[in-house]
Amino acid sequence: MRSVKLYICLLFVIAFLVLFNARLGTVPPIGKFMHPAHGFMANAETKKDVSDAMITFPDPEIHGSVYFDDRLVPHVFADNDISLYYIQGYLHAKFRLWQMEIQTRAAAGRLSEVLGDGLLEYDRLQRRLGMGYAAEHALAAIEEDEHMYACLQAYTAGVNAYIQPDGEHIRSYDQLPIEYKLLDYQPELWTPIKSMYLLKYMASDLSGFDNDLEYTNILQKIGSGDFNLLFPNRPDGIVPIIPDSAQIHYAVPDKPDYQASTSSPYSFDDLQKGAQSTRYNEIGSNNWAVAGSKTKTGNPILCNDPHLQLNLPSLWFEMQLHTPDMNCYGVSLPGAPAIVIGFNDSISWGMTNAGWDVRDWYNITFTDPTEKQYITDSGNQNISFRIETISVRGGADYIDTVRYTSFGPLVYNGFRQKNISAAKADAKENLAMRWAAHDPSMEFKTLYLLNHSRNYADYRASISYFECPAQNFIFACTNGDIAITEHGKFPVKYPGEGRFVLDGKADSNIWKTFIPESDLPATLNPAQGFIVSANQHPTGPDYPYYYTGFDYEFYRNRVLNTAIQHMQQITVEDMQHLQQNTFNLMASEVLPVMLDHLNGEANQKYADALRTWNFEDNAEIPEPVYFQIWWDDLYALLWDEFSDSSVALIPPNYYNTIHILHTESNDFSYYDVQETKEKETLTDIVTRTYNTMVASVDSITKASGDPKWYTWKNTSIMHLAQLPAFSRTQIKVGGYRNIVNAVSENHGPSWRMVVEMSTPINAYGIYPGGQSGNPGSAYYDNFIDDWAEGKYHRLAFYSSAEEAERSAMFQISCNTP
Amino acid sequence: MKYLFTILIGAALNYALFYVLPFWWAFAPFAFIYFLLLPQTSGWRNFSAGFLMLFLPWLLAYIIKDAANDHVLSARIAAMFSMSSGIFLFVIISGIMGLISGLSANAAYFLRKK
Repeated sequence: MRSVKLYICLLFVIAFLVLFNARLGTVPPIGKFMHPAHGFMANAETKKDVSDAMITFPDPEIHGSVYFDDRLVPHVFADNDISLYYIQGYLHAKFRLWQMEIQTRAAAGRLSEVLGDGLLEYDRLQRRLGMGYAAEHALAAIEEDEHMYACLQAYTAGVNAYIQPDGEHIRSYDQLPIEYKLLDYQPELWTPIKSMYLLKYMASDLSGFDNDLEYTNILQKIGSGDFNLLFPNRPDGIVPIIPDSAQIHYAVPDKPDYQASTSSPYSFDDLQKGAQSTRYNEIGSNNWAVAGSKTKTGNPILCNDPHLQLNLPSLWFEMQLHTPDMNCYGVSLPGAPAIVIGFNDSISWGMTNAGWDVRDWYNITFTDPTEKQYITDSGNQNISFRIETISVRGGADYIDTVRYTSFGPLVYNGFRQKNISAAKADAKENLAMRWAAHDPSMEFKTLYLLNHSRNYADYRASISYFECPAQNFIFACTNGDIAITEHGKFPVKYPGEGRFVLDGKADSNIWKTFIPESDLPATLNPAQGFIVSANQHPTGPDYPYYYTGFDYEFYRNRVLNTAIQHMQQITVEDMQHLQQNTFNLMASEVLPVMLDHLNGEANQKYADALRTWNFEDNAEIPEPVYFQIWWDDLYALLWDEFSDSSVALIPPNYYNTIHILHTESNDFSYYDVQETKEKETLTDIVTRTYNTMVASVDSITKASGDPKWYTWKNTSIMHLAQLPAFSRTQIKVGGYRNIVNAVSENHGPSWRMVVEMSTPINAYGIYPGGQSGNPGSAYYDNFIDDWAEGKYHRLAFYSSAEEAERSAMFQISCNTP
Repeated sequence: MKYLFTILIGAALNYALFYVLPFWWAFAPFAFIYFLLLPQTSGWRNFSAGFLMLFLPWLLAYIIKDAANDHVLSARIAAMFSMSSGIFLFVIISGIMGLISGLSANAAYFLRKK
């Protein structure tokens, strides 16, 4: 009897131990995870984690000191570049290891390996987009440059010094970031190509777009007359980045290989099948510089706020990097060396995305069903094969063969892709992609050199290495210069080339020459005394090269240009205030038309409120909610012709839509709603969507009181693994897309910076996150509330280690006694 | 007295084991061996002593860390398990682990009486 009880007890004990030792679905192994010493509570940071320490690296020649200010910003003082980037790698890993790894896995198409087969389609797409091919080219380019490669290797060794503190073993379970415990896997060692993957992750985020397939479908559906009306390449009324006052003299374009194409845009046998249409205006950024002639102190002021997807841990990590020949401050990307956006003691720089379309599609005709060769004017070409092996957690490896042409990978190769925005077609055709991000380039060298630049000439030399993603590099210098350059690798094209899918057989469609450095859109000290870029067209109609954009913006830049034009005696506070501007120019241009066409018999309660609205998208007022619901519905109903769920299409953008609302007659054919028998007018659809809006606002009011803009918008900063408990939602902040303060549902100003080029530099900045990537740290999300309120941090830019030490919260000495 | 003493010594040893051994389950064989050497007067006493000598240090370790962390992490992890505060999570987990320890102690009692 007693032995039965013994066995029952033992059985229960063993059963519990086995149960709690296992990963059950998405639940981490409970025993390990809940252990009070090694489990999640080991990630609960205490005062000990912010106190002085000494680290001994496996590499004894590394020397430096790191002083942390009270916001946990490290100020690194190192003997030389090698020590500097080693320590930077170590610090990135110390605060952001899981984030660095998961982002490079995402770029490389290696998520299934740790997250399971749910991510297989995502991984396959990354492989088909040629992310590995691109990263390998980038690494090969950097290996050619001895010093850059040495810096990258030092950075890599620094990351690994954190992953393997003793140089041999991966950190023990208790010392891993909490996400590894939750998802139950281990970090792997860093390698130089992972940094390249991170840069390609950014390239994909910022240049991995085009509308070629949609436009090809639309052209076929509506014909060129309507197409040119709805999708003009250069609409009227734009204010380009390079101002007319800039007096540019472009070299007469030297286009030895330039020839008008004989082939018309490719036309599909039948329309491309696809899923959702692309949404416009999700990413963007503002930057501007004002010359000393317009500022109170006489020093130029430079501002930048890149609008990106907002996540926790934040994309950015703030740092100061100091060596005997450089002193630089700004934000870095965990996973890559150097400062990306920031300033040193002579210059400051920032970036906005250039919407220049650098991705084209070619229809490939194989010689035979074995698909080993394809046809061109100059003879048959061989296909090369790249075997992609995707490891899948808890399953067998998935092996995919991607065919490569001389253009690039065949992203669509009898391959059916569902619901992925970057690849919309469910194509029967074989489409090869030509993308500037695939070419070998050294974006890291640009960052390295910018960090060291002293003047305009240095700045131009630095950015000459930056090819993709093309950026508007704004510049200001303590000597008074301000400048901007739209820099990237831009193919010389014949008018219209690259808006539609191209015929892969025609040799004339191949990218041959690129716009020379001297002819890139640029200006230095324009007469107007300021420069603004906000993802708009870079140049006026006099620019001699044809180009097209995947997503130009039409509102933020006009608000900024108008505002700065009228400002004099500008202060740093004025510029901070301007970054918070919530004027909805788009609403101001479309709402009057909507109200004019509203049938007088409709319930006027919300229309009356909108008539007195000042077009400010403030956080706590209801009017932006009324407008946005109404406009979203109207826009969707107006362009119902372009929302066929079985075909990849895209509606005209807001700017062209509003132009049409102003200029076309009340019975313009596209106002008709497809699903009804009647022929609708603008008045009909405006009134119908107004009534829908009234009903939905009424139901919101009934459920939770008067709507407020911020609660409706629900700005959320999600953890990268989408864990709600590690995320922030319902952030009380105004603004929206197309507004200077571009805070939408999950995108927004990822780093706000204002730098006055005084001596010493007077700089301010903030990002919506915190320096630590650890949800168990008080520094995980401590900037978010200040960011939402529009506050800034004074950036502590120390001239010497002694100065840094005096105000340090704590310090880490590296290999020094 | 001996009962209380057994619990306190066992709890102290368990607390030390948390930091010495990397295996989260170390407390289970420990309870078994500990009560083979120090048998209590009844199975129930073995069980309750085994429970308490793990429940108490496990909970204490949580609470010490949680206080030093200002409840930042425990609030987030509790939310992950749909609980309003970390203390509920701490008590539940410590209780479940205590139960395993108690059962293991109980097994030791039956083995000696066999």
